[in-house]
Amino acid sequence: MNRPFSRRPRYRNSLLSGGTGIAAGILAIVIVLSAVVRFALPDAFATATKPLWNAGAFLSAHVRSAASKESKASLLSDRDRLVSQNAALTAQNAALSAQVTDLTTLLGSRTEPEKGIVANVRARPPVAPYDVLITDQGSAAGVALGAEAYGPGGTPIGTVGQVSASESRITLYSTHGIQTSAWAGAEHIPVTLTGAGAGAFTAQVPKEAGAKVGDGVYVASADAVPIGTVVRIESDPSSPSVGLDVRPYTNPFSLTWVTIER
Amino acid sequence: MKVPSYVRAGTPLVAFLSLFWFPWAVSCAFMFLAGLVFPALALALGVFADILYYPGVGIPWGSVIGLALALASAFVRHLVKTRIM
Repeated sequence: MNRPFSRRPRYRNSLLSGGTGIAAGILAIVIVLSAVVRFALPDAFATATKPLWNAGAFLSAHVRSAASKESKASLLSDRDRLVSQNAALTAQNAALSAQVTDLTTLLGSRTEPEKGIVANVRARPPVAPYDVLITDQGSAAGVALGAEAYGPGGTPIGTVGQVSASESRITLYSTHGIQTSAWAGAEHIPVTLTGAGAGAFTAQVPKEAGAKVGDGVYVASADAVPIGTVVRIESDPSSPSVGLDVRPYTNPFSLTWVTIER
Repeated sequence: MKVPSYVRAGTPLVAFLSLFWFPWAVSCAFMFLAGLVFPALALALGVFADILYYPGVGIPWGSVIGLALALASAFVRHLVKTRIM
């Protein structure tokens, strides 16, 4: 029996079927809209994405605590260790407090410079595929483009690369290809740190400079702030220089807050 | 092999959420799975990862990986459709 002639277009041999083409079109529109909102209305984008990042932080915190299966004995031993550690730290704190009191009496007190802006980290590597931190403080809180960001302990970690009213993005010094002037070791050997991703750095120094594993690496500035330590030296007999692998003091994977300079 | 409709609908959603919740390597796995549902989804998710995280310097790896995963998933779909696999 002959089938009746159909006027419906047939896509069997076409590159894209009707449904596929529509879906691809919708996807393209969604992506273009996202990009427009991200760059033209960064605050709206931050507001829209904030709940998703917060949900991720909430889930990871609760999954981590649920997955913890430490035995009672190990918990008790940890507790004992922490109690003794706490006692030692309390004694040390009392000694330091007394020292501060003495020094204040001798030197007088002075007003300390204003601390930076403390920002909560919403997204960090490895969720972010780049060495970038997304924080919850923006220009409304005083964050400026190019401001330096510090991790716990005052370790410099990067600079503010993008900022909106309620959000800022910190580009870490360890981002692939970013170069930072630094010093290595007690002799302050000048090195140029190159970001290697995932928080790590590499550098090249002449062999005769005498860099050693364990040398501290400092950001080249007036106060020489420590940024990491040399963990490996790669030497090639045919090369006049050696390669340094530098591990940062601050692990960007576990940063929960940062301080951004005002 | 018939894939249930909730899997077809859920995979892209999970892949989208994974960009916010999971390490990027896990997100790549979900992007590939989403690409098996519809190859352009892998590319779209890769571009969206760059919209979320690209710092403005260097290669936009999200888009590059998304494109590679889209091509890989399209290839796998082609093999499955022609019953080579």
